[in-house]
Amino acid sequence: MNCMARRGFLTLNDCGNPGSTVCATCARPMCPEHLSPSSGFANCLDCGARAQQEEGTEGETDTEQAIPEDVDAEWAYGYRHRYYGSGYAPIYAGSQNDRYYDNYDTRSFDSSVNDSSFDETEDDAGGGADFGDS
Amino acid sequence: MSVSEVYKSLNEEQRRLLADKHAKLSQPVDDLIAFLKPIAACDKLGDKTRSKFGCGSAVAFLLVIPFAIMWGNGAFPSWLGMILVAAAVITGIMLVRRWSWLNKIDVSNNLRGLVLPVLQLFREDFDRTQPVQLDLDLRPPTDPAKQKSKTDAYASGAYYKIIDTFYVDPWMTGEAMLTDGTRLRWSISDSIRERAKTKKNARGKHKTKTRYAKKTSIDVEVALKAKQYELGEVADAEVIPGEKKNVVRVTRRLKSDTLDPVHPAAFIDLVAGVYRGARPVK
Repeated sequence: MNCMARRGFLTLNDCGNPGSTVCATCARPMCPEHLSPSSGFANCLDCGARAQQEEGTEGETDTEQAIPEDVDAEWAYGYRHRYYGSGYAPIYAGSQNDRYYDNYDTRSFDSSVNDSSFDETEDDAGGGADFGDS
Repeated sequence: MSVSEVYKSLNEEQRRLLADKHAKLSQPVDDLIAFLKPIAACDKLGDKTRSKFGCGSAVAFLLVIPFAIMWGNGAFPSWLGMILVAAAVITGIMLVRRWSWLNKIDVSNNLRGLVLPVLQLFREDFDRTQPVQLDLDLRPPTDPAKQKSKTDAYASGAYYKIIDTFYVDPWMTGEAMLTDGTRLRWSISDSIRERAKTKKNARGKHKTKTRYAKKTSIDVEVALKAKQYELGEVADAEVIPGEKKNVVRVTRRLKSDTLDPVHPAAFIDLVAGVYRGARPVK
């Protein structure tokens, strides 16, 4: 199964790499690129970002927090998580119906895969986003 | 790792950037990050150790005086006094040389404070198959070459001498293609006023303070594919509609009283603001 991570910041895309490990927290398949080094590659970067936010006592959605000395993918995913929490709705250009990202207010090229538009009976709804060079 | 070890691990091109502090780079984003990160690591270590070497050299030279006096008074055997004075002088010279070298390889904190965070945040938005173009000037913002003008000394209040020096530092321009076919261009420029104020205090000593005022201008141009995005409202933007691409230009100006880099959020917000106003075509 392919990696279920969504890559990007301004727009989100499906990773598409083969998933090699299952995240110990969310049980989604992940490729090595989307696993968190600080968790010993046991958790995905998204779960790492959520854990970071839960550990934070204040400024949880503060996107103007001090920049760490060494910025890496873990920091970027943490920042992205906070940024989306501050009101930015990224455009999702992928085709996976992953409820993991339901807390993000995403927009889509195809309304049938817009996360925020899913209802309880449409869990298995398909629909590929048309994001190619048209 | 020490600064020397990190410096030795850099390749020729990375060392050249540290020496010249200027580079025109054109590489895919992952290569660019891999190129710049070790330079930033070297700069970080340099910043941390530079002041230690500076203070250390001052202490070493100051020790020469008591050692020389004690040697002259016969407090030490002659050979020991000579060794102590010589050791203090040699240590001082070595520390000054080290401090001077660290100054030479020091680059602007904009690299660590803004360039790398932005590249890391947008890494997955940049098209990996296309190069990111970066023109970086990492000389200090108050480098003499960036000086534009200087006022004559004037007086104000308690200060009998004030000199304002103005600098213009257009330190970064860049261009990248994004995964959705959008073309992103940007430039960042700082205008700095350095104010050196001198006054005479109650004890009759002359004290000089230096204060900075910085205005940062961030200009961003986002060219969105017309077939993929309809443009809604983007605050304070100049929009140039096109058949293939709609170009949106936005600018943000920030003021600061330090020379610290502006927070990457200022840049991120500008680009994200354009995407906020763009509606994906269904």
